[in-house]
Amino acid sequence: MKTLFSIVATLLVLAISGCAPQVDIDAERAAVLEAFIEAKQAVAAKDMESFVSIFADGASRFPPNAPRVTGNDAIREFVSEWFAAPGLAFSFPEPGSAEVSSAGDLGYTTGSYEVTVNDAEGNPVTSRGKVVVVWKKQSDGTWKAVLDIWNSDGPAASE
Amino acid sequence: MKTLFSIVATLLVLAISGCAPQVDTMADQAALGNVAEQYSAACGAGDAVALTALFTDDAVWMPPNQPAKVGKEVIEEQYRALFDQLTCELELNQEEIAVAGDWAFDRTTYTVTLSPKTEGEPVKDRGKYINIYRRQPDGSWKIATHIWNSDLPAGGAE
Repeated sequence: MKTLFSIVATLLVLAISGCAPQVDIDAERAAVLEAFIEAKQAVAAKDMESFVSIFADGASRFPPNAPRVTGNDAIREFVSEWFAAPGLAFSFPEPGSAEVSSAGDLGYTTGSYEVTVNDAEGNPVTSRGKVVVVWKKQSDGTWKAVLDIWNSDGPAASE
Repeated sequence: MKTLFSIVATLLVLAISGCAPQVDTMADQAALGNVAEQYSAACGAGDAVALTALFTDDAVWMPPNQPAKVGKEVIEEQYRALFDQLTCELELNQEEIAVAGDWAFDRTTYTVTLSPKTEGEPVKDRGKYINIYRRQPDGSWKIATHIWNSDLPAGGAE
């Protein structure tokens, strides 16, 4: 009988607590937003190494007016050309927003950007745009981007 | 004693099954695939109402070369304006669908031909999108965020 009670007690604990989410969603959401902010800081600083390091292995970028870019080497090459655009300057007026899965392993962030690039005559042209990034929690606990997509609010050719 | 056994049995069931994922991922994947099918069908039918029904009330629609539009009514106006002028042939290829509890995303490539209803040449485009979906109280999935861009050079049509 004593054994039976201890079985009941154990099962009760399992039934109640074992199924509760083990994940601190607020903390994970804050961590994803922080990763997004760090990524934007790296872009604003045109810091190639910091920016490339936000991506998970095999990640894809979906740039406007170009096919998708997949994998670390391709992303590095793409970013290096991107950062070399004449007069390029990025800023991110809003912090953006973040969401994570209930399991705490997948997240996404949305936000906006302002970008200035020189036109053909060398005059700076500024436009705004919007961005969505999908993040995946890595085995070491860090959040890495697996996918990002963006587009301009302005007329074509001002991405 | 009998009561105790039934309590044990109930708890055992709870302890084992209650901890399994609550989500039928296969069904969700199928449902999310079905959203894409409905999207293409509504585009082909020029049906702005059916198309907009796939979005949440507060959906954010992020088209290239325009600011984001928020809300179902505004999105419906966009599609209505498009379908007034053009017929749509849309093909979607969902390359990845991932379910994350009460939301999900897919990455999808598209090819589209927009043909003027009166005169003019059809415009072809191909590109890619990410949708963020939200699970609805009835278990269905609706698009909460839709962002896309073209693979073609700016201003370029095939």
